[in-house]
Amino acid sequence: MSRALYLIQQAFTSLRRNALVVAAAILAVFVSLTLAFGALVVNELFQVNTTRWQEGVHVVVFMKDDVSQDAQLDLQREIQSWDEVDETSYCDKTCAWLEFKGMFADQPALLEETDASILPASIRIKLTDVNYYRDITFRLLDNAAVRKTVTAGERFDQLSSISNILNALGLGLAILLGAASVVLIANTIRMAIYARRDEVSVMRLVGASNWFIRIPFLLEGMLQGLVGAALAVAAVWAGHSFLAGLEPEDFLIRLSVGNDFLVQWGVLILLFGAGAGIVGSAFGLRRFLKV
Amino acid sequence: MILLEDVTKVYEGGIVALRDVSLDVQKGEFVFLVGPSGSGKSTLIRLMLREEPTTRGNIWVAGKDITKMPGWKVPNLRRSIGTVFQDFKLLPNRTVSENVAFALEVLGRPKTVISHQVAQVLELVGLATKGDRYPLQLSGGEQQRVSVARAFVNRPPILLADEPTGNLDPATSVGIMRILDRINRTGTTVLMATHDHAIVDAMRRRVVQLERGRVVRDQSRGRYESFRVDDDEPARRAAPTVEERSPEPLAVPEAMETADVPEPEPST
Ligand SMILES: Nc1ncnc2c1ncn2[C@@H]1O[C@H](COP(=O)(O)OP(=O)(O)OP(=O)(O)O)[C@@H](O)[C@H]1O
Ligand SMILES: [Mg+2]
Repeated sequence: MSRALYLIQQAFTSLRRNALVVAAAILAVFVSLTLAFGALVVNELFQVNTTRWQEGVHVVVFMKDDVSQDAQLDLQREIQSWDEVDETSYCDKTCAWLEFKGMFADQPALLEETDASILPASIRIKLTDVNYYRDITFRLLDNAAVRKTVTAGERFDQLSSISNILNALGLGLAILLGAASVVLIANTIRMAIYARRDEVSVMRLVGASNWFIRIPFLLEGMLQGLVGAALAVAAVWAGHSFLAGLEPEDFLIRLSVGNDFLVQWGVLILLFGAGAGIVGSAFGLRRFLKV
Repeated sequence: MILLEDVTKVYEGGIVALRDVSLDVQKGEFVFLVGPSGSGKSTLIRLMLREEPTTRGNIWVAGKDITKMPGWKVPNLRRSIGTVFQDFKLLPNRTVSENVAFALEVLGRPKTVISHQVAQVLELVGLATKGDRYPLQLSGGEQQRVSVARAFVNRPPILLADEPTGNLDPATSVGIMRILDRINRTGTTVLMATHDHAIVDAMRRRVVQLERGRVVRDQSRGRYESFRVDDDEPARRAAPTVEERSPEPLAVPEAMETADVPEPEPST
């Protein structure tokens, strides 16, 4: 028991002594894993939205209230006849209210305040190819019956380019910084060994086992990796919450991934950080502590 | 207890520090290792601790050939050997008691055992009242006694000392030698490298002399200088001037005659 305490205490004392280099190592782990985790989250967002986008409704056309239902159905038929259109469906004011109620079932106050009659009827369009969304929107622009058209197309295209950039650049940088952090951790371990060289040489002399000598250094490296990873998880978590807050109310595009995804990958990132720390200290030990 | 068979040590760079050294040290013996600077005394001690690999030959310690011992067993070897050096190797930020206790802590001994054994060994070296001092608050002789206490606190069957009195004045050295003698009397095998004429001459124990990496003399109840006529063992003596120049040992005591027995004594 006191032995375990001694080992942990050693690791902490040593970390304090080399605060600056340790901070650099932790920073490297932090930035590297933040990029990696961030890229993972954006990638997941992209995946989720791709499926939603491709399988779901591509364009929603909201109708003006003063247009008769017949005229609205005429428009639906016209749209249906276009080559680019695969399917259409019509949702009248009652349907819109039902949907609205379903969406805000947990907010009775809001439902209470909302006047069902202000919700517009709409035509939902599924395209044969999602890339036609611009043409369709453009064609409906000056239609007298249309109040407004909504599509996730632009946002989806933005997301797709962000995702591509992060995948290529972010992951590349993450790997580079990851390698740098291993080297930096190895360096802090080398300094720690140097600072404790007298103690280490006495330990070897009196026959301390190799693991007993190594464990404080391995713990020290692992701790650095773990702290960096924890900061990265916190940063990505915060960034994700912020994005989720920006999620548009029409729900045509999602800016949040599931909590399960965050937790699972968060744990993996923590393990990865700890692992990188251990690898780093193993390097430091191998080169500078021949037992 | 310790058996060297034709041990040769060549350092990187081709420096031959030991050439075909054979030596048999029995359990409970006290052996002085003498010889000019650079003759290989410290090298011999380092080989016995496996701090350096042996180039050729075998070294048996407590029944085990340590030249073939896997690395992970080396700590165990070192637990059975206490070591004392000229420069004490004490940790300045720990008290006397903590320095001694450290040797047991790193072996995972329970606290109660540690405090008991530390108190006992500090008593043995005459530092019972100074356990709470820091090394720098002690004289050189006292510091060396702490280092001896640390080497012996685990009751190793072997004690290796490399010039333990090298930094001490003659009177203080005598104090250290008394302690080493006391430790030897408990049955501990002691091997001590030294340049200290007075001590070797006063103790009259077995003397192994190295010169340019060879054993040139191995004499029970010997003196530091080989040319001084030794009344106790006239039969073993060759003409001193010849022996001084000869690279080969001229005197062969019983200890060496038993060295060709390949099987070392079983460890206790
Ligand atoms: N690590 C090393 N690398 C290369 N050569 C070494 C090393 N250590 C010792 N030597 C050489 O080996 C020879 C024997 O050295 P050693 O230290 O064993 O002598 P010694 O008898 O202990 O001397 P002293 O009485 O001065 O302590 C010397 O020539 C020395 O220069
Ligand atoms: Mg020496």
